[in-house]
Amino acid sequence: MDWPASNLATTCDGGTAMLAGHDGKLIFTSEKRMAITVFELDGIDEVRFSPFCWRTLMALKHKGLDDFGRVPVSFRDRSPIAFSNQDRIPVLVDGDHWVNDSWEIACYLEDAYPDRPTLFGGEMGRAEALFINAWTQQIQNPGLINIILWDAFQAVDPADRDWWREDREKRYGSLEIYQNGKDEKLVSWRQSLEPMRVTLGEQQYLGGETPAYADYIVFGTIQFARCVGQYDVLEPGDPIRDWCERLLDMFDGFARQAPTVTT
Amino acid sequence: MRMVLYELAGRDNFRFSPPCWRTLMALAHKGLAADERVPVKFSDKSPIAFSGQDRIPVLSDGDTWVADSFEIACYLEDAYPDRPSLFGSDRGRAMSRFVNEWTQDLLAPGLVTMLVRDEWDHVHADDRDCFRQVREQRFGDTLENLQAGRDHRVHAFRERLAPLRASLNTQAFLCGESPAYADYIVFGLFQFPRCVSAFPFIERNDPIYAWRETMLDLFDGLGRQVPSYPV
Repeated sequence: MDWPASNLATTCDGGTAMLAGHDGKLIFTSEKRMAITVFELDGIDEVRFSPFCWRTLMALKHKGLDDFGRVPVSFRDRSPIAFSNQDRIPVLVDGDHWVNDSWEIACYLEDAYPDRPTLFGGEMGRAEALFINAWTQQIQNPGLINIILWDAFQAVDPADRDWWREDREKRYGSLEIYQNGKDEKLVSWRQSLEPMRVTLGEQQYLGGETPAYADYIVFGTIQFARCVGQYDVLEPGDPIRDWCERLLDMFDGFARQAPTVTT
Repeated sequence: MRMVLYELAGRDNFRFSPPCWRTLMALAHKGLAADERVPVKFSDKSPIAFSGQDRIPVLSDGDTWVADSFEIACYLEDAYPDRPSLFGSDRGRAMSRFVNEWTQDLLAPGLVTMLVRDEWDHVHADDRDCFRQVREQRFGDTLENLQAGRDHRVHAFRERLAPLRASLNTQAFLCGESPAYADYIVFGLFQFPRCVSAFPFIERNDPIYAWRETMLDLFDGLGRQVPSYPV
């Protein structure tokens, strides 16, 4: 199935914004804003644990672009995003324009909707958020993956599990070995979060008094663990868990209400 | 207003304190310079006794004084808002604090113990006994043993720099197209090895090395033109 992106642009919110031209460049327009759709990875029982998708979802909420559509995509069958000629998820479609890669999506939203709450706080903030993006990558993989890979496997739709196992075992070896030694791995993983913990001792969010994209980057990683039933990778009382609770409360509890694996 | 910077100084004018370097670079970024730079020794902090605390650097600006390099940067940003910004925005300031903590985490004890014997060679003659005693007590071994094996340990240190490397693969500076306080935070860290040791902490083919070379050239070579090792 090949969905032309332009077919997705059907509803409007009455706002005035920039739209994408057919050549992919942004053009200013006074027309009504087209609908935004996010293609996101789907797991068992609608558990959607992709950390990168969570970054995009929170960024959209931050921008107040609340009426976006969500299209689940299975791990094994990426035909819904065939129009993009690539297989990485999330993909965001805004009118005639599509973007993949959570970082690129955040940059797109910041530039396309400059009048809405900022994700970065200027160019210097964007550059520093990129550093936090890279730091989080290190925390997430191998750090967290090394601890919860088996749990993530349990959250994969059974129909996708053969595909998932084959794909992940190419990179990480046998999934079964990730059932063991979690306690020891947790000690050093929690230690690796220390710079963030100390920062949160000084301020409410990485973005300062209110959350910004840097917060959503790290939140995506914690929400990944939470969705696969492993929220306890953060100990109760850890300032990072308190920070995570604040983010779960944001946007009327948007992230808190998401389905999680019950353990 | 008269501005005085109290900074840690070793023998023969060796100045290797990361937080002091952050403040020097922040002042230069703002187009400011201290009217007087007062060297302070580990073993004698009487020059900053007026501040009622013992952390260095301390910046005294007219009737005000500030300790802690991050607080000094915030002070400079707020007191001199019309000069080039160190943070870009409140969001940039908040994220710079994270960079500050990330850098601090690299320093202690990782980088500190890999350099501790070399550092001892560069402290002020009056500080040698005090420095050795305090460090050996804190880390529970002799300076010589603490530093031993760094040829191996440095690999893990370099790996921990991955987020910085990834940033610099995408943009010229941590703060984007031009340097700002987050760059000075990390640069200050690297001035520490460069000013006490000939050990090559950063490999020459590392993008971090090229970035640091650029940082050394800033402000007429402020960071380069000091007693140091060409590593």
